[in-house]
Amino acid sequence: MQKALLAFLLLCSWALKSQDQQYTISGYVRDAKTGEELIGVNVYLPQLGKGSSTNVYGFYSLSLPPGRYQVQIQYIGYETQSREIELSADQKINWELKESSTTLEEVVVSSEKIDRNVSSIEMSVVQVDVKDVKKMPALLGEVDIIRSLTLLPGISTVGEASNGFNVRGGNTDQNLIILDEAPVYNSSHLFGFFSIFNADAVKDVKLYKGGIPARYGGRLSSVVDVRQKDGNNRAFSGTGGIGLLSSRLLLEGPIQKEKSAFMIAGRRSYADIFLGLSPDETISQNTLYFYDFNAKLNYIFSEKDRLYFSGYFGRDVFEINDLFGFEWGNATLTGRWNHLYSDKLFSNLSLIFSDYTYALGTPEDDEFNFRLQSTIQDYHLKNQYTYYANANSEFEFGLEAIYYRFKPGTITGVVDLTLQREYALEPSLYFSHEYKFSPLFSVQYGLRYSSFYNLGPQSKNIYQNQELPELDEVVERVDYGKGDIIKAYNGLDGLEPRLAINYRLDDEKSLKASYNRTRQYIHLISNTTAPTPVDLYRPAGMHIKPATVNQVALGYFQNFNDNAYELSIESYYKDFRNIVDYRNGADLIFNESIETEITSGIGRSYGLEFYLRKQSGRLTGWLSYTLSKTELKVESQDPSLAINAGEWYAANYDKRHDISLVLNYQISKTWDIGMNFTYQSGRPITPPEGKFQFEDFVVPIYRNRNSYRIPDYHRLDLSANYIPEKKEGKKFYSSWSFSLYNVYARRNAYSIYFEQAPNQNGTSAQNLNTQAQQLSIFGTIIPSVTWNFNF
Amino acid sequence: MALSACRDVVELDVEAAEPELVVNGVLSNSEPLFVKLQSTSAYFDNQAFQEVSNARVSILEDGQEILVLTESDSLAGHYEANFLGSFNKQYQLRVEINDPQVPEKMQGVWLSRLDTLRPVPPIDSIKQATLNRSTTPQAFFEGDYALMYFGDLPGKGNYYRIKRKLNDSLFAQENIIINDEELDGIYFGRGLFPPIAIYGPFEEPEAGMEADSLSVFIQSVSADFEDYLNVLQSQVQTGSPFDAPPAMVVGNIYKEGAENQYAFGYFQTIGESANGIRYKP
Repeated sequence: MQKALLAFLLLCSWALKSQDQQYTISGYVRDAKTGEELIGVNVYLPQLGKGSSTNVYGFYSLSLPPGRYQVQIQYIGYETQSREIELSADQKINWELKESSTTLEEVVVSSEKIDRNVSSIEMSVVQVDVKDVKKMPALLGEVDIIRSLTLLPGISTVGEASNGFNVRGGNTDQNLIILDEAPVYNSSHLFGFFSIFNADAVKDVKLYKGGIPARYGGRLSSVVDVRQKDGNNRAFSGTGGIGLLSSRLLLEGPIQKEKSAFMIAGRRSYADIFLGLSPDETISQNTLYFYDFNAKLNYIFSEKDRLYFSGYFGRDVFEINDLFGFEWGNATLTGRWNHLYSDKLFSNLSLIFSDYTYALGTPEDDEFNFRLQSTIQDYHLKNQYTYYANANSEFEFGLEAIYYRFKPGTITGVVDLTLQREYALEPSLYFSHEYKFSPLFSVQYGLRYSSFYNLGPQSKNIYQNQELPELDEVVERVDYGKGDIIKAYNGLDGLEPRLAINYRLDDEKSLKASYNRTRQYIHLISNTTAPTPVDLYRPAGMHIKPATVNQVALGYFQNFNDNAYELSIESYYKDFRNIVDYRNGADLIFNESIETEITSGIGRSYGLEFYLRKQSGRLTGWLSYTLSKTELKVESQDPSLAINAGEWYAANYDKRHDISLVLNYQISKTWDIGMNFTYQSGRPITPPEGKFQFEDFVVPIYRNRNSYRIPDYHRLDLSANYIPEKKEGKKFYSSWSFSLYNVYARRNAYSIYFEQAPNQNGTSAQNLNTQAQQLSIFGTIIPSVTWNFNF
Repeated sequence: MALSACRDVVELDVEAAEPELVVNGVLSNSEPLFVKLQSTSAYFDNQAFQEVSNARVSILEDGQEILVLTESDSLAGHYEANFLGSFNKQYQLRVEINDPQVPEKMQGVWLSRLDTLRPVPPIDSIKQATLNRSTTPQAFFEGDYALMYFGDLPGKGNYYRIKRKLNDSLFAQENIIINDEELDGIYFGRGLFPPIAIYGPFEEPEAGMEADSLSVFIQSVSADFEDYLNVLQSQVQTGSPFDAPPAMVVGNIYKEGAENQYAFGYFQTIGESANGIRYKP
C-alpha cells in the first residue's frame, strides 16, 4: 500500500513538474448561430501532436511552453477552424464554430480530420449525434434516442415494448441515466415504446459501457449522460413537429443577449384521442397518453461564473374504463454553478433533485376511491473540479453526496395505510488523473470511494437467520430513531478503482485497455423479465447488500481514409456480485418485509464488439456486431430457493448475436434516405418440460430456467427526409420525415406464453388443454409521417 | 400498436421429461375424503392425464394410520373413504406404489407434510341487496348482489379460501384468499365493516326459468397452502416479460426419507363451512 502511494505521489509530481514556464490558452467553444457551448470539441495542435477537448460545459484549457502555435478546432458537423497564436502570456480565446451546411456539394468535400476514436483515452463509449438520430427511421415518427442507442454494440433491450435497456450483460437498473446530471429512474414512455427524451431539447448524449470515469458512480453497468440544450442566447427561435403519435414544440431565446437564455420544450401524445373514436367500447373507454416538459435557464455572470437551472417533468397516464388508472413519471431539477478559479482550474457545483413516482387507483370522485402511490426521491450535492495542469496532464477530483427518500407505498382514500419510509445517504469522493507519457502512450487512473448509510427512522425485523430471512422467523423488532444508522457500508469494499490505457500503434491505430469496479447501493425491485413502471427502487441495508461489478475491456481502434471511417473491436469481461433475485412467488407490491421475498446471486458476462462507422460523405452510418454471453447463478442455504439447482443459467436479456446496420444516403440537396436493419438472437425463455393438474388448473413444470430461445429477431426500417432549401430572408422553414417500420412485416416474437387453451364455445368447464402462443407486438408494417418546422 | 399486435399458436420442440407422480386430495370436516393419483405429461400432449391405479393410499392421524382408502371402481386413480376429519387433529397422507407397470420414478412411499385441520367460522347468512358503485366498492355494476356475513376467528394467522358455485357449477380457476393479518377478529357485516359482496349482479332469469342459486364455501387453510396457491397462480400463465419468472410449483408431497424428492399436487387439510342463497328477482 505504501509503495503504491509513493508511486502515485511521484506520478503526480512528475505531471505537475512540467508546468514550469508555461502559459495557458483557455476558453469556450460555441455554436456561432445559437451561442450554445459545444461538448467534446477537439482543440488540437498539429505541430505538437497534442490537444485537448472541451468539457461538458464547452470549456477547454491547454498549458504550453511559450511559442507560436497553430491551433485547430475540430468538431463533427461543424467547419474546422484554425488560427496561429503567439503564446507569450495566458490567453483566453473563445471559438465560434459554424455548422457545416447540409448542401450536397459541401457534404461531399468535407472530410474532417477527427481521430478521437484512436487518440482519446476513452473506450467503450458511444456518442450519438442527435442530428443523425433525427434522420433515422423512427417508430410512428417518434425520434427516439434510447432506441438509437440500442443499435450500437453492447446495448440491447428485452423486446420492443420493454422499459429500459441492457448494457454488456447488465440489468436495466444498472444504468445511471442522467439528464443535466439528475438521475432519471425510468427512461421510457408508454411501457417502453418510446423514450422520455425529447430529441429537440437534447444537446448531447454519451453512453459509457466500460472504462467508466471516476466522476461517475452508483450504477454497475453504464452511464448515459444526457445534456439538454442551454438555449439560444443570440436570437429567439423555435422547433417543433406534428406526428402521428405526438406533437412537440421547443422555444428558446435570449433573455439578455449573449448573457442569458432560456429553453422550454413540451410534448404530448394523443393516442387517447384516437382511442376514443373506436367503435369498440373496450378500446374507446380507455385512456393512454404521455406528456413531458423540459426547461432550462442559464446566466453568464462573467467569464468566470455561469449559472444553469434546468428541469424535466414527464407523466404517462393509463386509465381503464374510467374505473382504474395508473400514472407514472420522472421529475428532475438541477441547479449548477460553473466557476473558473483560474485558467486551469474549472469547477462545477450542482444541487439536484430527482423524483420518480407511480400511482394507481380509482378516480378521486369515486365514492370508495383509493390510491396507492410509491416514490423515490433523491437530493444530490456534487462538487467537481478539473485541473488542466498542462497539455499532457489533467486532474479531476470532487465529491458527491446523495440523500435518498424511499416511499414504497402510501394508500389513501377510503383506507389509509403507509409502508415505512426508508432513508439513505450515499457520500463519495473521487480523483482521477489523465497523463500523456508521450504522443503514443497515455494513462488515466482514478479512484472513487463510495459509502452508504441506511438511516432511520424505521423499525426493522431481526430474523433467526439474518442471511435468509423468513417472515415466520422474526425474533425481534428493533426501532431506529431519526438519523440512526441502521446499516453502514463504509469499508474498503467501497473503493472503486478505475484505469484506462491508450497505446497508439501509429497515427491511425491504437490499442486500449480499461478496468473499472463499480458499486450499486439501490436495487430495482422487479420480479419480471422487463421492469414495469410500477417497480420501485429499494436501498441496500440490513438485509439487502450492495452489488458490485469488476469489468476489464481490451480494444483495437483504427481510422481509415483520412478518418472518414472508424473501426473498433472491443472485448470485455464482467464479474457481478450480489445481484438481487427473487424467491418463487415473491410478493413485491406493498410489502414491508421485502427481504423475505428476495435472494441474491452472482453473474458473469463476456463478449466481443465490432463497430465500423462512416461519418462523412454522401453515405454515412455504421455496422455493429456483438457476440456476447451473460449468465447468472443463484445458490442458497435453502436448496428450494436456488435457481436451476444452483447452476449457471442464461440471463433473460442474453442474446448471443446482435447485428445492426444503420445507413443514411444524401440523394440530393433536399432529400436523404435511411435504413436500419437489425438482427438479434432470440432471448431465452423457460419452456415447460411437462405439466400436471391441480383442481381445474393445468400447471406447467419448469425446471431449467431460460433453457430455450424464442425465434431470432430481425427487422428492416426505411426512412426518407425532405428538407427544402432555405430561402434567403425567410425564417420559417419546414421539413418532412417519412418512415416505414418493419418493412417486410415480420411477426417477430416478443414473447411466448404458455397457457390453458380457451374454453370452447358453450362450455363452462375449464379447458385442460394447454398451448403456447407467440405474441408479436408489430405484426405488420408501420408507416408514419412527421412534419417538422423551425423558425 | 394495439391494432398491429398479433398472437399465433406455436409448438415448441421441447424434450419432455419422464412422467412423475401427481397427488391431489382433500380431507375436510364436511365432505368425504378423496385422493386422486395421476402422472405428469408432456406440455404439448393434450391427451387426458394418465391415472395411477393399484396404489395403497392411507391416512395417518396424529402419526397413526387410521384408514386405508379404496380405489373407485368407476374412476381409475380415484381413492375414496367415507371419512370426515376433526378440527385441530393433525393428518398426513401416505401413498405407497409398488406396481411394476408404473414408472420407477413414481414408485415407493410418498407422504404429505403434517397438517392440522383448522377450525372455520360459519357463514352466518347470505343476503340479497341492490348495490351500486356509490354504495359499495366492489359493486362496479349496479344490480342485485349476494352479501356474505361472517366473522374471523380470534387470533392472527387465519387464511380463508373462498369457493363459489352457481347452480352447482364451481367457478373456474378461483383463488380468493382472505388473510386476517390486518383484520383479526373482524365481523363482516357489523359496525364499520360491511358484509362482503360475494357475487353479483345476478342475471334476471329467462321467462319460465328458475332464478340462479349461489353456494359459498369458506375453507380454513394453512399459510403454506396459501403460498402454494400464490405461486401456482403466478405460473399458470407465463411468458410475457411482465410475468413472474417461471418457477417450479411444489406442494406438500415428498418421498419418505428423502424430503428433496417431491411429487406434484397438494393434499389439502381444510375446515369448511358453507351457505347459499337463491336469487329473488
